[in-house]
Amino acid sequence: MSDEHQSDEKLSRVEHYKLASRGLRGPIGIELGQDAPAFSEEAVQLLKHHGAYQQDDRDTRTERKKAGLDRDYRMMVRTKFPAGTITAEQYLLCDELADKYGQGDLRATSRQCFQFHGVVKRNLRPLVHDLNRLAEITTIGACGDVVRNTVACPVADIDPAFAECGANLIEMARRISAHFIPQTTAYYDLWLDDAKATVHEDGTVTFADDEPSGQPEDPIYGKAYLPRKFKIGVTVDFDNSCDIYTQDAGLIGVTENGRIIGWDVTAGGGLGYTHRKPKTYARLGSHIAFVPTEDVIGFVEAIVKVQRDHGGRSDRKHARLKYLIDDWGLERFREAVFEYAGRRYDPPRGVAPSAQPDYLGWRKQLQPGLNYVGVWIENGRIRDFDGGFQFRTGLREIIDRFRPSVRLTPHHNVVLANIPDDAVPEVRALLDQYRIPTSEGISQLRRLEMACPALPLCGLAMAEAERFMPRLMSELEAAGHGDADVILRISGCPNNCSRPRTAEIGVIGCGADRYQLYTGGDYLGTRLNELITEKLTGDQLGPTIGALLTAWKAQREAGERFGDWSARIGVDAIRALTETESAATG
Amino acid sequence: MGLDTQRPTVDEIGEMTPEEMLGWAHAAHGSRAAIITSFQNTGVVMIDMAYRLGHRLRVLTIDTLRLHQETYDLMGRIEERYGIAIERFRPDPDRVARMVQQHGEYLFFDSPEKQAYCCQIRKVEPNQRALETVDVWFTGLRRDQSEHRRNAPRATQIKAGQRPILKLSPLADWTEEDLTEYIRERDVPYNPLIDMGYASIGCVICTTPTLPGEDKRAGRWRWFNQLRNEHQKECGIHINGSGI
Repeated sequence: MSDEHQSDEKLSRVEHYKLASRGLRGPIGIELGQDAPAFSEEAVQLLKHHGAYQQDDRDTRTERKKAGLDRDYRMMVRTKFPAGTITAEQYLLCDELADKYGQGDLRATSRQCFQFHGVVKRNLRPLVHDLNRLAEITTIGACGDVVRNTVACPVADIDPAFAECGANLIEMARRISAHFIPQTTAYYDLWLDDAKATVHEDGTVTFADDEPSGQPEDPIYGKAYLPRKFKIGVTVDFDNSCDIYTQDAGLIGVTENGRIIGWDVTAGGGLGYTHRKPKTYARLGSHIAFVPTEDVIGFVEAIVKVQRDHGGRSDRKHARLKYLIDDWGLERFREAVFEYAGRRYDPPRGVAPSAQPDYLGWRKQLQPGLNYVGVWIENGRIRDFDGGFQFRTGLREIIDRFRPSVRLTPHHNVVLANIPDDAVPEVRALLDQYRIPTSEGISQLRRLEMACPALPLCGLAMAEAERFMPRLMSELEAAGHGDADVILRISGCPNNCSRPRTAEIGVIGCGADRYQLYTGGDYLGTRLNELITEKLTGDQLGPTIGALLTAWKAQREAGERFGDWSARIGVDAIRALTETESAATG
Repeated sequence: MGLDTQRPTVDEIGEMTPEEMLGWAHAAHGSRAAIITSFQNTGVVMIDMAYRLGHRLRVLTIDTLRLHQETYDLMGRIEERYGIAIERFRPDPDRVARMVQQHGEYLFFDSPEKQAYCCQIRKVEPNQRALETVDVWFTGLRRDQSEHRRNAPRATQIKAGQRPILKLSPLADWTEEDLTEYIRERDVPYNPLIDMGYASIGCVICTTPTLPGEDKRAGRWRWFNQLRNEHQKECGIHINGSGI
């Protein structure tokens, strides 16, 4: 199949790196042994497949440049937790390693993983090594052109609503995750195999890079891996907590009397795009077929392979599955998947998930005598904030004492599960003591918000997100909008890590202190919002969004949600409202 | 050249300081003198020396189409800093297409012979075309780069095809430390790969960093290191009678 690619258009640079990488090795092993604070571009591109991104502290760039210093390079390491489910012991080890090798905090992500930020290069191998060796946590495929972490409802096995199907859901996420793990031994050689690594007195490591020049071929990914990232989510028809239509491939369990009778498989979701590049755009997944449980992993593999063999490889901005589907048309794509799957399947049932719960607050578990509590983490950042939320110390103490099962949610919050009835009062007291909110203790607007990490470390960020959101929330709360039951999300660039395009109100960075405003998504995450205005400054966002919320409260029909109201009155009317506001404040 | 009477001998040129060499070549040979560089430290220092003194020598490079992104970025910074248009000599697209079709894009993994063939198409042949445009060739060879280059002269007459040309290595006796110091003092744009342990920079994949104590060209075609110790680790630009 690689020959097929080569006869095509000119391959992008990253394609060459992958093809010649000898199973994702490239120069990584050699460069790990160097004193230098950074990796080369070739190594950087390949390292993503191992779960590590090279970043630098953008706050200090100018200052360091003036002082004649290079950038302050830091690695970001992302774990892979299928369905966001981990043990208390795994959580505690991550917490410990964050101090030892990271910047002393953990970032829960919108794909139910942890990110370690601020890891200096010499700590990269020890961190990845210890995660694997001490806690069986992998980072392979957490980033890069492979199947990423498989997301799913994090409480499906414990929430009574899932009584008849929840275990199957989590099991499906795990099976998919295992099925798509890259088969290269490079990960084990580089990060785990101590026989291949010599650690020197000064802490540097050298590797026996003895892999022959031949390129082992992965049974699913081939030599070139996928053209781009590939995201898979698993859910059922009454739960959209994992934002199923934003996934490259989605499995929606169709239920009858609570049992899953088969899966509607969706394909072609993906929110990321590039500003001022009209051939890139956000797209929601399309229902492809209804597939019985025993065939569903094979069917998803067929989708992955169609993308592998036919997805774009010349322009990385136009390489996600969604573009292939639109270039071909849905019918041609469906036929291709049937061909790869070796048989035809029934038309999809077309059922869309009917709710998007966040699972915050206390609930009785399916298992008698046990409880779970969803706690709100501000923008997923598990850190102690001066004079405020003590997320890190509080969670560590509760998890250490009560050893709950821990789940990261797709809304970058945390669920603590399996808490016995008699321990509930103590856990409640500890949450209060460390000022950790559940469904209470924060406004409804703040409860539903999401933000991506953005500055200072993310190299893609064009504007602030995580650091700006608390201020925006405070402004809106001060204006009396804290009670608004409205989903508002912000990301620092159009890659949409915090999924602003499926929010009722989406804010996307497009320059230094410049934002686009989108409105009109629905409360269920099944509709994209639309662009209202560009180039708002951070100062203008609060008043502009506040004016829209005020207008909604005055104009809405009974029970009409903000996103539905916005979609009903239309972009022009919303735009007019924001312009009145800018004129008033400007 | 109409100034034959004043023309210094090769030996006399070899005695000049680097600045004198660059200045003399520019004055005496104009656009028939050029710096051919892959933008490693010797190359960027030569460019800085020449342009700082107003010797606006042509700057040529061989773009194998497989260089590191870091190298392409550096070319842009150099063009901006010195206000020059770097002349890029690229491989013949037909010959590349034929080679890739016959042996695959990554033939250099297969054997030292195929690696040499790839270098021939992508690097040596465009270099020959570049040399046809000059009478004086400034190159960044240094004696401390490898055992093979230990006796590289600062000035030598070589044959490019049938035609004699002057091959000058003004920094042949500089060390890596000398270059680093020069670059730091004058804030010369340089290739960040050097900070990452790349002692020799050519094509992506074919060059990797070197470990402490390794030969400076050990990072090239690393997969042959165990295979054959006498593998020359030269792409061919500086061998075969080219006067190292």
